[in-house]
Amino acid sequence: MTESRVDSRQSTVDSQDPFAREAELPHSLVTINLGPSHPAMHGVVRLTVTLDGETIARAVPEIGFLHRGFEKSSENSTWHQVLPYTDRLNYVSPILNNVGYIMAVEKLCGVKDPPRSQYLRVVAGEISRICDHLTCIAAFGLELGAFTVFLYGVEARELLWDRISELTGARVTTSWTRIGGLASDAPPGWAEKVNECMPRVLELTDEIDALLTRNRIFIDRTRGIGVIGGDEALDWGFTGPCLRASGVNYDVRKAHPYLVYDKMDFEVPLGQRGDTHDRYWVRIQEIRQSARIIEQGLAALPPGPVIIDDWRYALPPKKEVYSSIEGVMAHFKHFMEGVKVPRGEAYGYTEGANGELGFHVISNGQGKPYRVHVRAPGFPILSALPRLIEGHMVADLIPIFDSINMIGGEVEQ
Amino acid sequence: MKIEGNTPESAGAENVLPALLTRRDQAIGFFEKAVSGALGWARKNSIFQYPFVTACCGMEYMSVMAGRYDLARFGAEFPRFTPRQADLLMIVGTINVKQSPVLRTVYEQMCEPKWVMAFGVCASSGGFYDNYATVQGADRIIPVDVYVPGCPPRPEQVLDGLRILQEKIQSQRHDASTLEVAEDVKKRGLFTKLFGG
Amino acid sequence: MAQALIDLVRGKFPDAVLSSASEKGDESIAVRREALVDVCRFLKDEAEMKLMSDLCPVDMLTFGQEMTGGGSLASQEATPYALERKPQVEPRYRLLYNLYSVTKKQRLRLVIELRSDDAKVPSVTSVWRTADWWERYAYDLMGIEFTGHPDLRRILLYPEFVGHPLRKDYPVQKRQPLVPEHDFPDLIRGPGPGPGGAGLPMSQTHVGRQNVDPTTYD
Repeated sequence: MTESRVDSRQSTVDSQDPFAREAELPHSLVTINLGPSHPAMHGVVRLTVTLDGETIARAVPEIGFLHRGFEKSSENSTWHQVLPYTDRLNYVSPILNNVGYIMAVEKLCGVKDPPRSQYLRVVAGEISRICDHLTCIAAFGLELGAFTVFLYGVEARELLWDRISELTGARVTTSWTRIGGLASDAPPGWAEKVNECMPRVLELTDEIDALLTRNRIFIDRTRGIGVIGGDEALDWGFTGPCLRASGVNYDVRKAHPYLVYDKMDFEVPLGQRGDTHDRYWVRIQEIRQSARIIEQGLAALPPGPVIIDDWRYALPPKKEVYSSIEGVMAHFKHFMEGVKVPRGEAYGYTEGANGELGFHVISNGQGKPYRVHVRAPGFPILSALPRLIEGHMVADLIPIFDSINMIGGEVEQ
Repeated sequence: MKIEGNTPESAGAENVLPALLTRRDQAIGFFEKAVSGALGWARKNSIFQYPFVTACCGMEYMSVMAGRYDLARFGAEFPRFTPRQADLLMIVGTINVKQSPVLRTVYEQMCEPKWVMAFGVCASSGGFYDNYATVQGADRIIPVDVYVPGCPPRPEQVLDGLRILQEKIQSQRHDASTLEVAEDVKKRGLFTKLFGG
Repeated sequence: MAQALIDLVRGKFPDAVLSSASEKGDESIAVRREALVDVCRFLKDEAEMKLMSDLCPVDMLTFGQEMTGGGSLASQEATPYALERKPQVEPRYRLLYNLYSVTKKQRLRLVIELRSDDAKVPSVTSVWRTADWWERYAYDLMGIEFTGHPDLRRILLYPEFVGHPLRKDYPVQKRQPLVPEHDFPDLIRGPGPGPGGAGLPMSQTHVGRQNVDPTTYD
C-alpha cells in the first residue's frame, strides 16, 4: 500500500548545488508493519507505519491481540474469583492491581481493612511498583542495545520476587488481597529480609543509572524525542510517570491519599521537558522514593490481624469453620455464592505503576460482580503514540514506545 | 523412559527384530542411527528460539533468559526474532482469536526442522480464559511438541520442559527410506548405490 | 465538595441536568444526551476538568435479575428463554464518564441513559482527545454509536466479529474463530446434553464464519 508522490519542489532547486538536486529526487511513501509479534516485550501491538525516507509520516496502532475478555469473565466469576484476572492486567506489578480492585470493592462494601493490612498493602505495592519500573528500564536498555542493563534490572527484580513469593506464595501472579484485608500475613523475619535486600536493589539501580542517565549515546537517542507538553498530555489522558515527566504534578498517592500514604514521607519526581529521557529519569527516581516508603512502612508495621472479622465479607478462620455451624455456613456461602456486595456503583482509583489505575465496579447485590471496568493507565497513553512518534525517525520509535511502558495485559484487558 | 520418535507406532519398531536381516541392512541401520544421533545432538544443543511473547509469561521468559536461570547454558540463548532463522517457536502467553492468524503465519514461515513449545497454561489449553476471545490452547491451531504448564511456570519448570524437548530432539530418527531426494541426485546414481531403491 | 460543582452545572444548564447523586463518596449527575458536549466543554473550561479518566458503558439488562432465571448461583447473563419471553429493560444502556480536575482535585461522574433502540450519543472527542479510543472501546464491546466520532471502528476485536460481547445477551463462551481449529474431546465439561458438555465436538459448539448465523444461539 504505497502512495506515489511526485516531488513538487523541483522548481525551487538551486541548480548549482549538486546535493540539493539529489535530495529532490521523486520518491514514494513506504508502509511497513511492526507486527503484533515483535521483540519489544511489552505486549502485542501492530503499528502500521508510513515512512517518508527515514521519517515517520503516519503511524496507526492496532490493538486487540491480547484481548482476553477480562470484563466479561469477571461478570461470570465471584468477587474473589476476579482477583486472579486482575493480576494478569498489569502483570509486571500485580499487587498494585490486586490492591486497586479490592479497594474499589471495599468502597462499595463500606469496609476498611485493619492497620497491619494497610501497611503491608503499601509496602508490597511499592515493591511491585519497583518491579514494574525495573522491568520497564531493563527492557528499555535491552532494546537500545544495552544488554547489561537488562541483566542488572532482571537480577534486581529477582531479588524482589523472592520476597514477594515468600509473602504471597507466587512470584508473578499473586492474588494476595481479599475484601477486608489480605490472604496471608508476612512470614516471621520477612521485614528483615526486605531490609537486607533493598540496599542491593538500590545498588543495582544506581549501576543502571550510572550506565544510562548521562551516557552520551543514550542522551542522543532520548533527549528531545517524543516531547509532549503538560496540557496536551492531560488532554490525551496521560497519568502517572509519563504525565509527571511533562511537568504536571498529579500523583494519586499525594492528591487523594489512600491506605497509609498520608503517613509516608516521600517526594514525587517531576520532569521538565516531557521527552523520553525524562520519562526514563522519573522512573529511576520513583524507584528510590518507593524504597523510602518501604523502609518507613516496615519500620511502622503494627502487629495485629490482617483481615477483618466480618464473616459477610471475609473468610472465617478455619478453626471456626471446623467447629461451629455459623463458620461452616459462612465458608460455604463465601465460596459457592460469593460475597454479597451491597448494591451500588463505585469508582476506586489508586496510583498504579503507569498512572491512575481505576476500577469501576457495579454491584446488584449478588455474589458475582455486575460490571467490572478497568481504567487502564496505559490505554490513553498508547492512543497518543501516533502523536508522539510522527515526525521522528524510525530509530526513535523504539525508545518512545519503551518509555510509555505499555503493558499489553492492561491496555487490552 | 526413552522417547522413541514422534509417532506411537515407531515406539515398538526398534524392539522387534525382522525375520531376515542382511549385513547391508545392518550397516545402513547403524549408519542411520549414527547420523540421527549426531544430528540430534547438534540440533538440541543449538536451539534458536522464536519467543512469541504475548502476555504475563513473558515476565518469566525474561527471568529464564537472564542471569539467574540461565537458558544460555543449554545452548538456547539466542532469540531469533525472525521465524526464517528460528527452529523453536516458544508460544509465551495467551493466544486469542485475533492473534491466531498471526501465529499460524509465523509457524508456517519457519523451516523444517522446527519444534513448538507451549509456554504457560494459556498456550497449552487456554488457561482460565474460557471466553469469546481466547483460543483454548495453541495446539488447536498448530502442532505442539512440549507443554510447559504453569501460570506463569517457574523458570525451573521451563528448563525442565526444554530438557524434555532436547530428549525428544535427540531421539528423532531420520530414516533414509523416507528421505525425499531431488530427482537429479537420484539420477546421478550415488543415492541408489548407497541406500538401495 | 463537588456539590458546589454540581450546583454550578445546574445553574448553567438547568434543563440538561436530570438528577444528581452522591453515593459511596462519588458524586454523579445524570445529563441529557443532547447537552452532553456543551456540559463537557463547560466542565473542561470553567471547572478545569482537563482529564477525562474513563468511559464505562454498562448494560442494565439483567440488573434486576428477572432475566437471569434468579437464584444465587445464576450468572449475570440473560438466558435465551428469558430473552424470548420477557420484554427488554429500558433504559438499557448507561454511559458513565469519569472526569477529574488536577488543579482543583475534584472528581465528577456524568451519567447518560440510553434506550436499546436508540443507542446513539454525541461524541466528545472535540472536547478531550482521549475520548477517541474510549468511545471506540464502548462501540466495540457494547455497540453504542457515537455521532461525530472521526473514526468509529472496532478496537479490541477483529472486523469479522459479529455482535457486541459485553452485552448481557452475548454468551460468554461463544467464540468466532478466524482460523480453523482442531477438535478435541471436551475433558472438562464431559459428554452428554446439558449446559456443560453438549456431546458435540468443540468446533460445533463454536460459531464459525462460514456456518451458523451468529446471532442465533447454540
